[in-house]
Amino acid sequence: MQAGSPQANFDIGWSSPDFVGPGCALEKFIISASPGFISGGAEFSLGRKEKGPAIKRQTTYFESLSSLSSSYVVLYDTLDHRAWLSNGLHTLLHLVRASLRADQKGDFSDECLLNHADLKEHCDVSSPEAAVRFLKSRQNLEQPVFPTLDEVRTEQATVHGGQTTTTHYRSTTTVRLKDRVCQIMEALWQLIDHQATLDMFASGLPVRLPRGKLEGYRFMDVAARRAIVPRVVHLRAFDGAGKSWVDFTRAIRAVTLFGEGFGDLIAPHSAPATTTCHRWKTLPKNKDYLAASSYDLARILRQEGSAACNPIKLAPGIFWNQSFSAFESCACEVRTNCDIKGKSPTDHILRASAFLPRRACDRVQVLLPNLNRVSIVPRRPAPTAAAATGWVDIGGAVIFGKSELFPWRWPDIGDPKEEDPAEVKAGRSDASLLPTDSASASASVPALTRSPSMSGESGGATTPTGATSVSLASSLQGGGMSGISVPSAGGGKEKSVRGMRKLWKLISAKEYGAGAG
Amino acid sequence: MSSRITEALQQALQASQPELEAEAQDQKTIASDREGWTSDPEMTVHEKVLGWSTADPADHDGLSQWEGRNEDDAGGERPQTPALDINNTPDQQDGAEGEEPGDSSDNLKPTLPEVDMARINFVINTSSFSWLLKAVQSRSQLDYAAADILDSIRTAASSCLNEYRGNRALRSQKAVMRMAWDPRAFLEQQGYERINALRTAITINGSAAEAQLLSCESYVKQTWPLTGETVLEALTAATDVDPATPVTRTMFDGLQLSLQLEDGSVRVECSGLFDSIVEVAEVLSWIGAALRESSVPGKITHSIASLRFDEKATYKDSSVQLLLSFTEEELPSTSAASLEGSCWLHGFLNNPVIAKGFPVTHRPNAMMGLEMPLEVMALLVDAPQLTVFNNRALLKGFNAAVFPTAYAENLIKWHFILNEDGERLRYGDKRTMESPQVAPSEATSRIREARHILGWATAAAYNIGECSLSQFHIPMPRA
Repeated sequence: MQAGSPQANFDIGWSSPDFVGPGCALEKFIISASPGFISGGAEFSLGRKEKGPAIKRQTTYFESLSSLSSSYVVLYDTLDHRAWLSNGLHTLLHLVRASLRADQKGDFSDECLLNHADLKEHCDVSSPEAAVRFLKSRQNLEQPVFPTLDEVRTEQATVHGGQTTTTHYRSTTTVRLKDRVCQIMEALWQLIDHQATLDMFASGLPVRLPRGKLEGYRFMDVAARRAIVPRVVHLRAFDGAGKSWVDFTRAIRAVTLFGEGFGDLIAPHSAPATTTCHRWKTLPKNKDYLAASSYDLARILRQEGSAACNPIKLAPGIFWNQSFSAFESCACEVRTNCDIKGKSPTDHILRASAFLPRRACDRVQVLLPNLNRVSIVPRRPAPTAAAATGWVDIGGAVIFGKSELFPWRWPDIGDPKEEDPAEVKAGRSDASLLPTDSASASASVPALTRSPSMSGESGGATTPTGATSVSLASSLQGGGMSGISVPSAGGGKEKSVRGMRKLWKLISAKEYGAGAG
Repeated sequence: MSSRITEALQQALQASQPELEAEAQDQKTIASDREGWTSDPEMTVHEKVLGWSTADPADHDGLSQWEGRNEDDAGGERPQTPALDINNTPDQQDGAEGEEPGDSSDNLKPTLPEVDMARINFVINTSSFSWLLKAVQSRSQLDYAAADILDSIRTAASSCLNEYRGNRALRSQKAVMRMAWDPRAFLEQQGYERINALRTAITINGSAAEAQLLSCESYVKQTWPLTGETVLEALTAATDVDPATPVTRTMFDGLQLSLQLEDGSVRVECSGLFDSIVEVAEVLSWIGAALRESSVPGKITHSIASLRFDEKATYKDSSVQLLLSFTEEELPSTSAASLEGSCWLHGFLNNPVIAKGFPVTHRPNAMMGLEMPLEVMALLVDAPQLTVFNNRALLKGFNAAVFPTAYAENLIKWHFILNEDGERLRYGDKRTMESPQVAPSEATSRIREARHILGWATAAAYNIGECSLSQFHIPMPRA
């Protein structure tokens, strides 16, 4: 995870999405630039008698940080057309670091007092806890950032005989890192709180906003403590792929921040080259995919959804039918190996006879709304108690978006609709068709078919008997770079369970480094 | 406004006459060399001050004539001299003019008296005159109508001093006061972060209905600009001295003040002019009443000062022996009708006292609530900054906030809300929807310039733009 990590790119472009207009949820919402800290001419001391016992003071910084962890932000890159889901705390640190970077580049860089070498960083800066440790560190919080002008106060006193004495008082103050953190944190809280008021579940007033309108604010407006004016990005490109996760981010009341060039905020850090498909080494650009760390997804599931549901209920009204195809062997690698390592024409012929045309590996997970409205066949066994809580590896990551394998279309309004497979095939380029072995093929092909029998097989059917259901597919867990053969969907219960065991082992291998920290 | 200034000037002149006369005596030698001044070397400064507004310096009734001109002469215009423009703010000058509408024709316009500039310059350059201005300024801004305890202290001190003086014509007197108050115990109890926080400690004054919160130093400057600071400084010094030894200060009028901590109380000796001793008694009685906490945890009470002869006095000398003591009484129960202005009484503070019966800054329409500086309001809800969220201003801490419920021209009424369960208060909390919407830039500038009164206000009582509020032009008290 790189959100908040010192290794991330903080030369983030301001981006220029449109301002929101009529019909937008954030229309007329403005957060003014902070008028600043309040100071008056007189000094005051708070005693025990003034401190209302119910008004929290000492612990509020840490409580605010803690609460931020349970709030979510989408960092949408308007240049690369991809998005990252991060929690509020990691986003806060990312904003703070970006603001400090802007200080270094700004006109007043010579006034900047911060020495980055004095900042205490966690040994593993990409780990999720690194951001928490950084923001808790007293050493970091006390670092000076900028000087302020001295306050000079002159007092005249009259002494005996009518003479007056004049005394000058000079006080020097410094803006410290804690001040900067608090200032940005308050701005972030304003965005988060306002987003909560738009919550269709909490407000009782269903807000049916077009999925294609992704409303948010500019990342750098928040980092630079400027007036924050709502912006909107239209998710029409890439066949409306970005609309596939908008319901989810709205359901968790995530704030969206727009910027240019966030970089790879989630990326594998130790995946062996042999198991990492070149297509998924980083989150692909220009696909409007949303990457989320397992660290955040686990909390979202715990607080907003239910792992006991089958498929998993990730958030209110959002169901995630985990697909095994995310963990299958990378077919791209198979073809490459075949091309390069085949020793003789006979070998090629033998291999080719066993190959079926198949697609390039697709690691994208698909989220769908209410099961009552869309038929979904669960793709995993009924979860055990252990599986319900430990289904996801803390170091992993997931990509949400529009899958090539399981084509659904998300209109601006209304439930998503399954696309006609024939149209999808026709529209797909030959380059994506790859040879595969029979085992792999059986893992992916049935997933595309309507299969009422699968509900019984996977033990946890929630669709009405006889209803037409379709398997959702293709996900990437832990980067999905590990090549395991996913059991055939039609291969029987025993085979499926064996496959699941392999899957849990793989997940716990913690191969992928997820990003916001 | 002008009538309040006139009244204040009369009071101040009466109170400061002895000091002015004393200085005039000192200045006579110097003044004797001045042309014009020598024409009446026996005049006191007091007489000279009264003589400004009349052509005849001997006309001691000039002030009343001036006052009468304001009230009776519709076409009249108040003589403007730089020295008398005590508030010196355009708003107040506008207000004074606004009270004198009508014809400004030359024949109705009184001519300015011929005044010897040398005399004026001499007078306005005296320290006595500076003090006089301070006193007038202070008294014109404060509302003494409910200052019953201050009155009773003044009356009691005067009575004791007079009783002791009897028929003797004493120019100077000596008084010994025992203050039943322990400053060190108070500082320790409150756990202030500063070494000696007597100066910066927060005080609440007036009454539960109309209260004003200020630092101790700000309040003494506001109420006793001539003596308050010196008394507080001496008390601070006496608290610092260890072991306790007398700390002596000389006041502007020569009054000798000596303070010493003694067995959980403060022993005060002062010798000087009658009125100065009375004023020192006032200051000390207020300090003892204000700098303490309520004996009931979580409850605000009134603290009442009283002064009487010290029957247990052990000082056997020629001085008046006085005792300053303090009692506590519960606030009057809040009826449904008087809920307005009372939100600060519940949860906003812990257990301070209200120094009852001491003057607070005059406010229009007896607007109820607690007036305080903006920065203290922010401190008390632990708000780091002023925020304008969705066109609504607020000072928000973690689980508490204050927000404006009404804007007047230079007065803002605030309301306090609290999540008593300790949950974080959200921006956009439904309760804050009571706050009027204003443009961020306007909200910021108005809030920075206005006086602030915390106390729930009904929409019917205070609406933006209401004449009843907007007509007032009250100078911002300097905290």
